[in-house]
Amino acid sequence: MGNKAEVWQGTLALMVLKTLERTGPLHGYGIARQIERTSADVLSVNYGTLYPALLKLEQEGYITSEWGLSESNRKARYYTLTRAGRKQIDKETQEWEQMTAILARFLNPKEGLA
Amino acid sequence: MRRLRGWMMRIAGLFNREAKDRELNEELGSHLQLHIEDNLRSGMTLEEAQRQAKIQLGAIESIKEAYRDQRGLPVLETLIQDLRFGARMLAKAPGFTAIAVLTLALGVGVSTALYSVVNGVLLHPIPGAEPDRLVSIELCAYDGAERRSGGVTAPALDILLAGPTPFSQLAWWRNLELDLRTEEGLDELTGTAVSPNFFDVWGVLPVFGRTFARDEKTTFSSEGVPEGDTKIVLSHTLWRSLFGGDPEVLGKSIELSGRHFTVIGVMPSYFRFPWGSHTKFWVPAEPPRWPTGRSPDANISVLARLKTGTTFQQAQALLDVTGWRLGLEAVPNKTWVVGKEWNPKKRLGFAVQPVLSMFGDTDLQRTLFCFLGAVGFFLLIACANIANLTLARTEQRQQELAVRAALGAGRGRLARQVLTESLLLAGLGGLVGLCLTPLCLGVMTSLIPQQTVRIRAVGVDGHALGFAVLVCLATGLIFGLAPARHAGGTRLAEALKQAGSRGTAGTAGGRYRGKLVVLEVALTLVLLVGAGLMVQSLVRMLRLNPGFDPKNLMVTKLFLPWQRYQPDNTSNGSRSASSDATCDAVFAQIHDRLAAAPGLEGISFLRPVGRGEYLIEGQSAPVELGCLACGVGATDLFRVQRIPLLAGRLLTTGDGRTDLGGVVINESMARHLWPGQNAVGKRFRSTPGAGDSEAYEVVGVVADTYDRPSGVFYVPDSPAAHWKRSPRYFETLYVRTKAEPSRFIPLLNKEIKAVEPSMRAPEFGLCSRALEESTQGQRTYLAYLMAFAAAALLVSAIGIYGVLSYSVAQRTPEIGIRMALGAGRGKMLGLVLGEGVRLIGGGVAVGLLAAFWLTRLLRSQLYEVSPTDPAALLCGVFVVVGVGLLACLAPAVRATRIDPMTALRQP
Repeated sequence: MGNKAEVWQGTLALMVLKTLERTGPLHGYGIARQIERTSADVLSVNYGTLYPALLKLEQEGYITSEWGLSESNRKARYYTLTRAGRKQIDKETQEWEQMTAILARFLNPKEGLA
Repeated sequence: MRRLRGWMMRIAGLFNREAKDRELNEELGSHLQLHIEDNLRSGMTLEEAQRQAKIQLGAIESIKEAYRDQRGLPVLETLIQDLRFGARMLAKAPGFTAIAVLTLALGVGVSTALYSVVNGVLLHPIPGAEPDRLVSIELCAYDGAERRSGGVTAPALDILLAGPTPFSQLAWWRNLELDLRTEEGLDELTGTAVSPNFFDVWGVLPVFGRTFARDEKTTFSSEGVPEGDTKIVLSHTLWRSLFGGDPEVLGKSIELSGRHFTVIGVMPSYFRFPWGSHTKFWVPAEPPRWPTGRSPDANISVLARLKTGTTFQQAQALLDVTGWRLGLEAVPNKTWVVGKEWNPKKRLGFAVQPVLSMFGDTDLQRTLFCFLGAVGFFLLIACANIANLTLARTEQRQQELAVRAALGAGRGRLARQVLTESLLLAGLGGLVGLCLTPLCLGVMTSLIPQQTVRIRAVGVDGHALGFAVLVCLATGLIFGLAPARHAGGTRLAEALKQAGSRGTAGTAGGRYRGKLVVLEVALTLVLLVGAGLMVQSLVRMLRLNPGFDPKNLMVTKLFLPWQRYQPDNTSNGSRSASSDATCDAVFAQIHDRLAAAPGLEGISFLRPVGRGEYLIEGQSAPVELGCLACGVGATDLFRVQRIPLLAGRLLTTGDGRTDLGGVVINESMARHLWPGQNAVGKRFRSTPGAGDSEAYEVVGVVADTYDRPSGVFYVPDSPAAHWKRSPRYFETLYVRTKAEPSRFIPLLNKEIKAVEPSMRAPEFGLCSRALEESTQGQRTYLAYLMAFAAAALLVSAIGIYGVLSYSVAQRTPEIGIRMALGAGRGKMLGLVLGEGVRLIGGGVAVGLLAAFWLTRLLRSQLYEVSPTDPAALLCGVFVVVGVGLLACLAPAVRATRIDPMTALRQP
């Protein structure tokens, strides 16, 4: 609803992992909602694109899934972060921080291009 | 690591797809429900809630598609899909599939069998690991030019065995001939005396039993007979002939030359070393001792395996050092030029070379590769045919392909589908072909001559299978690419607009198919011309003038048991003058008795004297010539063999003078040494330094005989020729009978036995049969070649027929219009035939050019036939045009029968 930016494919995976780290086991709809909220409604995730991304994360072993019951007693598939997933979060966070630090120096020319 | 896991999970995702699809549906359904609940809670109506939830989720089908792509391996899945579809399409056209599979199977089967033979005999003849580390060692002399002797002498072998050497294993072998007593007399068997580790170095195991242990060797007397009883390993052929293939042969003993040998093993039938199939047995032996005082023969062959890490050059360098230890006693006899004395300035040494060079048989090589080429041509023709047919079918599927394209298939996808179908066809052809291969293999191995040296079995192994797969892939790609490209180029709008399968899309394909037919015809022509040339060559060879009259002529080799003629006090194994004299006397007796026997037209004999260097009067460069002593007078060789005299006169006993001997030379020697001149009266002498120098004068010239080398002259067998003759106890006997020769064999044997009972029974051979046998292999080979050419012709004819039929079917409406507008049936016939003739003509033109260019490769195979022989070319063209026109006939006639009304109404 309204004009929200599209999301990059690769960052979606990191966002999913980070969300699961914060919330604990959650179903697909919940993850989508959380991502929307965390991005302060700037990002609009076409919810459907989440599922192939979830599948890829599961294939690579960063998350696991199992069927469970939601609060409203509805059957839903819950995704949980694995230990490998946690390590991947740390790794990718580090990479992102490095990249933004480097970019920052280019985008802020006052800070010493010697 | 993670990515690997990802790929593995994707492979797992190929299975159990329905269950997973259901799960996905459930998950998406539950997602929607949760969203709807949320929406309801935030106050939307049920309808609005549902709508919003669906919009937010996105297009379900594309989600599912993206999910499925992620879940499995799309490439693999589409491949399986294409394969199944292709299989269905092939099943729907059984005629086409059957023909295509059969032709491909024939091509793949035969070529794989051929390749197996080439592999087993020529490319990888030695089994086991690292065959290139096996080397053979021989003596060589450095005397300006390097001259090798092909073997080592006994003293040289001792030096090698003493070491140190760069070899981890060293084995040697030597020719051994022993006599087997049979009912008819003594049979001579050729075998090999080997070091006990001989079979270990080759790495070949016997069929049953075992090979020799390290300590199982015997000493041999210098006559070549073992001094005690010992073990023996039999060849497959000997085992069959002596023991009838009895598996209980181990431990049995056979008697050869008076000694008893216990059979401990039998080698497989493919182990034919070192004399091809003539090697009948192997006996373990001590390194031979040569009596001092006599020049040893370099008749021991040495085989060695390089130590790991040693290169060829290092081994040669080390052997060069070892070679310094070779003394005069190791100088071989008769190795270099006879008559030349050993020059002390020459240095003797060892030379190594890879043992693989022993296995090349250039004749066989040429034959096999030629055949392989022919099969390759056949495959190409078959491919062109199948490409044609596939193109035609692809055109018929234009609508289906257009629909696929409209549904989103890209060009690559369409092309891939058609290509997969072609590869499937090729794969099927290959599978059926591999079933044919064992059959073809049996037939191919009969092409290998008996005397070819072989060590390993010829069978379909990894290499051959790899070759088969390669051939399949190549053929599949060759005939699949064109239709695939055509499918990929489907133009949507036009294809969908077409009502039915006729229309403009046909002509582009039609031109392409026309080109393919031209190619087919050209290839067939080349194949036919090649086969025609081979036929001509063989016919010339068969009609070859042998130089003598083989009718009712028999030949045999007589070996006298000279050991028996030794006076008792000479035991050093050398022949003495007295034993030589006895030999001469015995031969003379035999000749007299035979000459007196009834029913014989004549007998004669031939005794080798030896080769040497001779100086021609008036020429400076010495030539190497061989000398043969032959019977004269009553036993005149030329009269008995009926060799025509071309100039001068025949020999008489008076020509055996010591000062100026009269000789008769053969035609090619006359042409070679005195081109353009009359050779009668020319003189030559042996080179100085060979003891007495002999001078000769040519008194006559006779025709060449096919089995004697060209640089040979005849001297009369006289005392003057005697002293040089060696060995004295051997001669070749010719007998011409008045009637059917084989009836006289018992009589001849009786006469010979009456003179010398302990002699080996000579084997009489019919000269006519020997001539036939020498061409047997060629004839078999030719038969196969002709069969292939015929098959190729058939396939081409089918191709032409197919294209023309299709073209007529395509043009039926057009023909209907023409006929409705007044064209006669004859004109329609002309139309179709004209198209056919254009195709054939184009093919013949291209084919002739290619034939001129390619048949030059056959030059080495052809006997007295030029590669551009016009008869073969014309014949080939004639056959191709004839068959091609025949193939055009049916479609052309069909064109004339078209009824204009039905044609016009045809959709």
